[in-house]
Amino acid sequence: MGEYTDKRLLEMFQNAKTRNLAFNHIINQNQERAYWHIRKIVLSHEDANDVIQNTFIKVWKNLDKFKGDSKIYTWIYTIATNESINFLKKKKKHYFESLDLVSYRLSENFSADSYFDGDDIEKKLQEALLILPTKQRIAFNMKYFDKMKYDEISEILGTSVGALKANYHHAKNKIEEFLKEN
Amino acid sequence: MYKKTDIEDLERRIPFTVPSGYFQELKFEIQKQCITKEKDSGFSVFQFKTLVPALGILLVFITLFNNIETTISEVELTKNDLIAYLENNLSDELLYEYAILEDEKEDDELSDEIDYLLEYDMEYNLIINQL
Repeated sequence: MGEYTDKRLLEMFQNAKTRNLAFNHIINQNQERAYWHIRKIVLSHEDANDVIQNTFIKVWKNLDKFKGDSKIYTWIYTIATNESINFLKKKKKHYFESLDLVSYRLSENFSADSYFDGDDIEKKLQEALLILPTKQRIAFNMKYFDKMKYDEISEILGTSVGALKANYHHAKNKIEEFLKEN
Repeated sequence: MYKKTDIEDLERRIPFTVPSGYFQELKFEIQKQCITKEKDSGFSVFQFKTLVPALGILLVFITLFNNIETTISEVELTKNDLIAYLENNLSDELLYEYAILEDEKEDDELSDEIDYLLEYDMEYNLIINQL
């Protein structure tokens, strides 16, 4: 299936006859990277599966209002990020815990998770990531694993490039310190 | 003393996996969810776009109908309003003339009744009582 430009996909989505076809293309082009973005935030596969579906339901409902000011994939990343944070907030309410503590509790399940195949250092790195505040962790993941440009991360998270650079440097030091001590 | 690890040197691999064939199924699951949600919502975007103008037209009709009713009510109230208007706005002379006309009208109605009673040989006492 060939890739369409964002402009073409949006035109197709506006037309009732090609609406479903356009949406299929959008899912195909974005579902994997959106899933991995979400998975790195919520960690468990079952939770990521719920959040990715909610994300695309929101995409479906709101795509006709999308003006095309940004790329479709950055817009989907933004929705996925918000959905993931909201998901963690719901967990926080459920357990009466802080958002960051919820993230930390998620790390306790690494060993039991059948969909985790990391070695010791990868497991340690994931645990180290969970000492970061949630939003800092999300930004770090996007830069470190997804190798996204600061401009793109800035657009998705609504944080200035300068603040992101400082945060990345700070997060890197904290992680390396954690790895040294553990 | 442990050596500090430089994370830039590590392999940047995401240590998570998904069930086999997951992304193939995910696509269909998302499509199914979107269709279900749309059906559950009761009406689609298309129906919404149709419903809004229809409700607008209905609202205009209701407003117009209410205005017509208001006009009819105003017509029905005109006699009462006219008396109030006359009392407030017309000169004393005109009101006096209006009062005389009203008395004459009442007198005419009374004399009609007397004529009727006389014509059918009614009791005089009854006539006097009527007067």
